[in-house]
Amino acid sequence: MVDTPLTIAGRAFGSRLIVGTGKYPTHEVMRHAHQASGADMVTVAVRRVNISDRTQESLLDYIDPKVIFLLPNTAGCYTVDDAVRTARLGREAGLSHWVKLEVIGDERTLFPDNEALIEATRILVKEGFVVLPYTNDDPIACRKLEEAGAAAVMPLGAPIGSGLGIQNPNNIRIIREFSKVPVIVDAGVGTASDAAFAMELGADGVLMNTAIAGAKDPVAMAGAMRHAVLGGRLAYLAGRIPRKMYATASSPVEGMVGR
Amino acid sequence: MTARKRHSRSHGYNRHAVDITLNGESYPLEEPLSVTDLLMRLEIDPRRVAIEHNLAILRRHLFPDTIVRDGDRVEIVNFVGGG
Repeated sequence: MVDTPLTIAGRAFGSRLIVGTGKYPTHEVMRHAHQASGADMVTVAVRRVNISDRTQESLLDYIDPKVIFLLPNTAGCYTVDDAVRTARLGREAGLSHWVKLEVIGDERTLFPDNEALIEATRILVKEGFVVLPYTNDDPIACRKLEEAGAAAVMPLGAPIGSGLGIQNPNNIRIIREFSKVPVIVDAGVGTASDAAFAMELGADGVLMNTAIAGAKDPVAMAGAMRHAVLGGRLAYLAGRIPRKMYATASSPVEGMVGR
Repeated sequence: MTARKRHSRSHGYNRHAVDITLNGESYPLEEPLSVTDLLMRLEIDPRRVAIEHNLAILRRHLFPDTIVRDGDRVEIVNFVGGG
């Protein structure tokens, strides 16, 4: 079966797996994990340059811009103003007008502030940004984001960094049915089966950071995630069998010896 | 400008001519400086950063001609690891 590529705002990606650049033991491990993941889009954060210590290596020395598309985020922003400001800085630093938009509403859960997220989406879309909002697994919020001009919606599977897996699979399914734009499950993946499950639910892609960067062997986990996303996608396209309560024999019931 | 300079000098001994707020912290300069010169002084590659000057994004091609003066607020950001 031949799949169509994940296409967001007219740009086609080779992989349906999007990965982060945070929390890796070293930049070198990150680079290898990126290769193993097969991802061609990675997220980055926008932060102040350390003025007093210029010895630190740049993250960008470990990402090949010819192979990997950079998606700046607005992580850590709690207001519309901060998110919009950070998005604009990200555009200047990266020379691309794409943004993974985060407007957080609560420190402990890092759940998004839907109202602020929708407003920030509206503002940035007007400024010409391709906006990929990180949102709750709420079909109505996703619909409003799409109406505000979001190029994709990115509902969470579970809280960021929690590794709990997809907490509300039915909502992800409904979001997929409601949305005309791609649905990327963002956050909450803990292991390969979570990623496969997200894809089986119909997600167009999965975005993760901690599940890979925090694994004992990030490079091996990146490879596992690559296969999981591919496997889950193929299973979704192939169409699974319905669930039944009782057994149905796989071998013929006729021609049994001794009957 | 002369008046502002005199004012800042009048604050007392050991005061620099130009005090800017760089990434949220006070940063003294001997004299007003172009953004390009400021980056060179900080050993920062201008191709890898974005700059906000007094809360407005400063486009890269304006770095050489934009002068940072006393009281200005400058934010220099770059990409770091994130999810």
